[in-house]
Amino acid sequence: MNTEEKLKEIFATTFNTQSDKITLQTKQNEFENWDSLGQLRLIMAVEEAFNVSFAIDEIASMTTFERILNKVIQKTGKK
Amino acid sequence: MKKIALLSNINIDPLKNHLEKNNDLSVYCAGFNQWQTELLNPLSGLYANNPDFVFIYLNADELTQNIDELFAALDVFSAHFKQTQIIIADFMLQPFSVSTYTSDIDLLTNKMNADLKMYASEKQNIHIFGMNRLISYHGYNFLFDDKYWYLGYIKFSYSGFKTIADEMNNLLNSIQGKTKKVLILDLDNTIWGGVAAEDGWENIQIGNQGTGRIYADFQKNIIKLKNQGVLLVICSKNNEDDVREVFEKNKSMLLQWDDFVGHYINWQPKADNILHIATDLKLGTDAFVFIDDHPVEREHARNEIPELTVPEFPSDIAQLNRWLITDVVYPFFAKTAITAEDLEKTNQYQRNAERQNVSQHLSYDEFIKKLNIRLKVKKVNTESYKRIAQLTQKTNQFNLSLKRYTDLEMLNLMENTDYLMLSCEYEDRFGNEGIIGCAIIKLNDDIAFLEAYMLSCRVLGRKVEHFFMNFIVDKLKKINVNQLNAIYKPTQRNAMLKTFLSDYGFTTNDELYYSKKTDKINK
Repeated sequence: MNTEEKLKEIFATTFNTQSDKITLQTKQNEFENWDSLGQLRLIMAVEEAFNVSFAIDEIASMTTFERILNKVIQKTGKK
Repeated sequence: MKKIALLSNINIDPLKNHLEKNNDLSVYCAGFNQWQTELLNPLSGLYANNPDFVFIYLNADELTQNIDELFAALDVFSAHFKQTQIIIADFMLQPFSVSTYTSDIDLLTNKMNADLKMYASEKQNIHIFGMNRLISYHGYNFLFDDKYWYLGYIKFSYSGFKTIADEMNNLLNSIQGKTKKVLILDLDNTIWGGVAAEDGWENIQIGNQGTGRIYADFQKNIIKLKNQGVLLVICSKNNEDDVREVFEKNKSMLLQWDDFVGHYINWQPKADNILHIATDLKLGTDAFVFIDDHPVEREHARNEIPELTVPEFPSDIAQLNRWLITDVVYPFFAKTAITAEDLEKTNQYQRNAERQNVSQHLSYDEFIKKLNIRLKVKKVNTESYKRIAQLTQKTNQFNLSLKRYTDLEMLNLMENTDYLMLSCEYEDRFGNEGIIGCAIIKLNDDIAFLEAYMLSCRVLGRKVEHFFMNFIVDKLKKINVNQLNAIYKPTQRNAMLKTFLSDYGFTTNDELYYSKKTDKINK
């Protein structure tokens, strides 16, 4: 599974949806439970799954699937 | 599905996901820092949720209220929800702070926790969640992360939430009595090091030397489990003589042959043996945990018997005892209290084996007669209600309605005068089995409803169900009840109830609703 697929799975479990519903353009508040609390649950799960840590400032800007994906790739160096 | 509500003075919302992942649980999480109003206000979401369990975590660093305010709020809530079990995390503060060596933070938390313990010990519905124990095992830095505190008032890390959810899973199972009954053990390289048939009984690793100490500690722990009521069974591919030699001659062995209620030592596939154990002990394989060092045996047993629990075995043998405690004992054999029956369990099953020997030489009626069965039927009282609750949780075969009761529900029914609750104690010439059955009867003028009727599988096949029902019918007659109704809940395992009800003279049209007049007693 590549990073993009793995990240989609995490989105799907966190927001209780199917991973094929997630696209690069998916953004915050598109799902009912991707609110500010959902954002924290998502980032926690992403940090755990990829064994990375984001700074507080970074987290504030990670509001679309694509931005989160790019941050993960940047930290892990894996596509 | 059971319901749990989460209350805190910080944000513990992510715990919801972790708990739902682990359990068949529906989780309600109260708003941030709403714990006190939720407990006090009858119009709160908590009251509307009507949960089976409430979990309260109060972070002492952030707590502005006095601990007595917590107890006062709990009293109010408990008065409304008598059946709800409340789980409170013990208190802790950040281990290091600016005051460095000048203040004694332990003094403060110790005092709070002593008060909490005192409060919990006076109540039936309060349980303590060992947050401090988790911290001392895993470490503060592993469980807490400051970042999420500043992002959203969350103190726990991802690992923290996961660890708490796992521990909650264990605790909820033990509160509900959803634990396993039997531990099936392999021998070679499992309870001792080496292979008895190859190395010889004197050369296996067990005792005070080297890795032998690992297995000695392992056996000590297994014996402790046995003393808490877990039944032990050997399942090993071996020649029985080789194994007996180890037990008889090796003085370093701590486990003894008689500590096991069954010895399945042969070359048959282990899954076959495990199915035999189920038949012989009259228990379902879902009550079994199977420990074997060999991955092929584990895989085979898992595939053949899906409802069997087969934990992985540690690859590093030094971790054996730690693994036993965290991966086997807490998930499958955790207890909140030990009853007198638990202490006697192995003896009871061994006497059963003797009884089976007697029965092989006699006709059935002769056998029953020779047992000299004596039943003692009593109203459920403060000494017996915990055992009765346990019985309702664990009995699956001879169980009319499969209604499960918690300690607390039992206690409340005891005080309810509409209910007649009877316990049945069994004794025969082999010994006392303790309380093995109960009947819970709801009275409504001259009609009684049998809400629950069950017997432990240990005494089945001895007509105890008939004798016990005679007591009940007699008793009902004396208080002018002339009809006893019952609803049978059919499952795959309790078909014998149907046979019993019609044998006893209950009438039915649909094999679900049964009824019996009390004036004609069937002998």
